[in-house]
Amino acid sequence: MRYFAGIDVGSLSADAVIINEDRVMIAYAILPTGNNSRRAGTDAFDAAVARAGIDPSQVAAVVSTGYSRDRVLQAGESKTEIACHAKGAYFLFPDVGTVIDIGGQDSKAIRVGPRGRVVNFAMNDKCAAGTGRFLEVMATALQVPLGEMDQLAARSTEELTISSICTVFAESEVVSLISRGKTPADIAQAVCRAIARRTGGLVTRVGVADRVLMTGGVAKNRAVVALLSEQIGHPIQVPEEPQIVGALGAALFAIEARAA
Amino acid sequence: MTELKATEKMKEILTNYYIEAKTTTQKPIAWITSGAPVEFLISSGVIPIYPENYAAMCAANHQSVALMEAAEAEGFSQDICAYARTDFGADLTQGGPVGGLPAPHFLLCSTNICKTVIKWYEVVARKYKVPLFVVDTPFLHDGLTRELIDYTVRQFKDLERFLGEFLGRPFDRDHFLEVLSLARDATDYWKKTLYLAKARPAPINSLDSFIHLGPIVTLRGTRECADYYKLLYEEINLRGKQGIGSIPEERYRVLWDNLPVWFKMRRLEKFFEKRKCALVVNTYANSWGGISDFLDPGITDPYDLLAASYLNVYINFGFEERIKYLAKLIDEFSLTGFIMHSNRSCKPYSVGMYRLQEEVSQLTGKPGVVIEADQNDPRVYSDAQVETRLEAFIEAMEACL
Amino acid sequence: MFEPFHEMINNVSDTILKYEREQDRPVIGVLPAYFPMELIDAAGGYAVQLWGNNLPLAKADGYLQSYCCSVARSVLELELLGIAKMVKAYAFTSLCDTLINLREIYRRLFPKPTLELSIPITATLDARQTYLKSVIHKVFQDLEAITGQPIAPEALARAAKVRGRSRALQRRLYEIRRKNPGAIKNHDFYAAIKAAFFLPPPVYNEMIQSLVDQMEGSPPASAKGPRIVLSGMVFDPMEIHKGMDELGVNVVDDDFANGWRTVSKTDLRVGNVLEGVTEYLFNPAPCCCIYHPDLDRHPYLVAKAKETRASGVIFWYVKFCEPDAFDRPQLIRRLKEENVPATTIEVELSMTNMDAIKTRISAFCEILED
Repeated sequence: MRYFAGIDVGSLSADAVIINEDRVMIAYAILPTGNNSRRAGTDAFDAAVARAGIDPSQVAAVVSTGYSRDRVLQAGESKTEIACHAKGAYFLFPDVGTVIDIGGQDSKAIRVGPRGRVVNFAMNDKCAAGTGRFLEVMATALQVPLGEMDQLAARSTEELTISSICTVFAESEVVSLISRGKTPADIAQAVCRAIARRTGGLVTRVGVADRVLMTGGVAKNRAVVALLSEQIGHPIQVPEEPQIVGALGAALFAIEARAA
Repeated sequence: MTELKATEKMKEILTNYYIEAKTTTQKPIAWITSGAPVEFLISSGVIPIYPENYAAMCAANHQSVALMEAAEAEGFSQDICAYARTDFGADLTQGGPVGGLPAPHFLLCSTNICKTVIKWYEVVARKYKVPLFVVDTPFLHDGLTRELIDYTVRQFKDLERFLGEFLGRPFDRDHFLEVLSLARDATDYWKKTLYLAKARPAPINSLDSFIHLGPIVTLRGTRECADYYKLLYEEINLRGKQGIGSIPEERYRVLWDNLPVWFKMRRLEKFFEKRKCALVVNTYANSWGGISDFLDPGITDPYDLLAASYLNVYINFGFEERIKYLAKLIDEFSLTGFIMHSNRSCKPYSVGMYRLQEEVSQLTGKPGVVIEADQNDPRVYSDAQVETRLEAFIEAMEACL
Repeated sequence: MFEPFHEMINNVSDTILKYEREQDRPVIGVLPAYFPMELIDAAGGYAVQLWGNNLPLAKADGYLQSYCCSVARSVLELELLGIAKMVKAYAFTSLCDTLINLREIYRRLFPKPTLELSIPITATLDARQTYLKSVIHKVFQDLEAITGQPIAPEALARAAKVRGRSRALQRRLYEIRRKNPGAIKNHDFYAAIKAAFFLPPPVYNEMIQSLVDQMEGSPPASAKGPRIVLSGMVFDPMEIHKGMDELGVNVVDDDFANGWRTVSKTDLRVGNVLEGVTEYLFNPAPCCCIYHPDLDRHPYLVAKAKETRASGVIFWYVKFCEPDAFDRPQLIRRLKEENVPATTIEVELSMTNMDAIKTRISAFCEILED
């Protein structure tokens, strides 16, 4: 049995996925990137290999993706996150039409065509408002663990607006709302809505096509998913582990690379 | 805003204007820039529609964000003028307070307000497949010249030919001269009204002028417009004579330069009133006091005068002139300071502002402040940032009193 | 082969100083775009084109807002830092609001003379011609005041010939690239074009003549990457071209203001200066900054993509260039209707991290490869 790996090293996390030659996912690992992306890529790969219970030499090919894809030692080839998210999403849901990925420092909307090919894409990589980093900064301002932002938002009763495109401005809006006595729940909801708004525009540019899938770390925030779904007027599906879709796509490319 | 009886009349005029524009089956519609010579259209029975005016209304009504998002979803960059984005969005979604502007039969674009507006009109011309007539009014780096006036007059004459051909009837010059006379009456009264604010306390302030400039921009040349500004003038003049100020207490008197922040009018009004700061004069509303009102003893031909007035708008002339003009206003209106709005959407008005502020402060000895904002896009506006700067500015004025 | 060009563009100041001494001509900085250099040459000036640079922006922020384009800001930065101290005067055209106002800023800040060629955009022909005549007359006067040398017809004719030759040679380089993409690396190609901004024309002509002679008849190079047309105002930052070379992108043609839009201009006709300058300004390529009712970018760009058998178009957007940004959505839609995929990269001249740009280009190429 041969194995294939995909390594996705982004700004916030490094993820690795191991699949076998029958395209069954055997193991994955998600680690924080920290300040050494090369190390993070290696650590994620080693962790996934260990969990898979295999020897690294059994891995026939490795493809890397993500912001630091060209600095991943193990990879024989690299592919953009756009291609990998499309590929991974298509594998999980062959009827996917649009993929929305909100990562650590950019967000993308990808229109997927036949056989998981990328037909069109739009990215926001200039301003942080609407990315994972934005959510992190806001969670800190509200003094809430990042993973609990959506639960907090669910308790919202009043609709507030955070309109700034710039994270720094948005943070000062949050500070102002807090000082006006607005509840953390309402503010958290407003933050999630701001992300949904920013991303919604991106999605409209590439087109909303059934099925719509969301990947990336922010997809774990149910409030953002719900608000984004409302924004684009279409249900959004989130795979079980949205963060590894890019690495999965990379692993699938690895099989093709070897087959070529 | 100051409570004025005239406001009802203005609303009536503008409402009727939009209703006519949206329902007419007889009159042709032209979309035109705010600085274009509308008198040619009024005298030809064409209804002028101002996408800029509509965009401002959308922002004042807090509807601009959704409209801009629609334009951005079409691929229009956030780096382009927010008026254009608002209007493209309103056009795409048929949104805004009147549910989209009536489609144009042709477009009239003058570059005196900026050289970017031509791009906006190209987009519209392509979308609607209608003729675009350009009146190119180059920037006056060194004031008015005979060549610039001639250049503009030739284009006016060509506009008459275009209108004649388009409407299938010859352009009526006699009627046009009547319309010019009415435009002059209206702008005379508008200017006189604005200059009533020289009084202490000022019976009218800039926030009022931003509201009341609707008719002078859109319907200049009609009898209604001339009558309206006479009415407004009389009311404000009376208030002035009675010593009624536009705010309860006037401790500071300032100038506002650039367009208003349309989506923050109420909040800024309260901010200034609380701090006893009256915005008694602004360069934006003043601009429509110059159009059709331009007087130069050396120029007598009505077409030359018209050309000169359209060339000589504040944002079309060089910095030397702007500095002199601002200093003059600071003196005439007895100001304690001046505010310059660095407006992301308006480069001709904003580029160079840092230098202008410095020079005007030096020349007049009055404190000035530059605030970073936008005329139509709340998403690039920060209350905290702007108000902190304004607070510091007020402190600076206090120290000079 | 391309070393001399790279050497030159990496040592701009020294190069300018050297030729200023040798030729004893005053250096005149030319702001974008389409100011006919021939007029400066004929007046005895040494024209240096300023299309922006990659200086980190610091002083310029004191005068220009961050929402002004990095072309304007970086050119201003040069003067503020004293790097442009050899520049004796600046020549502008009325290209856009930012540059028009920049000239006013210069007039307040610097003692150096400035002049402007005001480009009329009316469709009323008699008005245009009459006005442009007076503009040209003023430009001649302004140049003469700077150089102390009136523009004589013979000097103008000579200048037109020499500059015309520069562009003709550049057009040959473009043709080599069209026929044989992959034969010239992108980074090399644009270095060869860029060197013309700073060199006296006779010096440049010798260099590029030699290059073109060597390159013509190159064996067909393997062009494995997709065939791309680039469109935008300026082809900087140069680093991006290195990135594209790494990705194996084959640029077959461009629609840059400082690239083909200028290079495609035929010799300035000097028999009738008014007609010659008119033709120069408005022909043959349309530009987002110059309105002309007969010049439509849509059929132009579609034809360019089809004739070069391009797989796609990359719009190279210098952030905050409004004329460029207004045109783009409808252009992209039209290209799509003609089955030409397009994407946009957003650049600022001072950017140092090209990773996001490379990702976008890479992703676009991945789409095209499918």
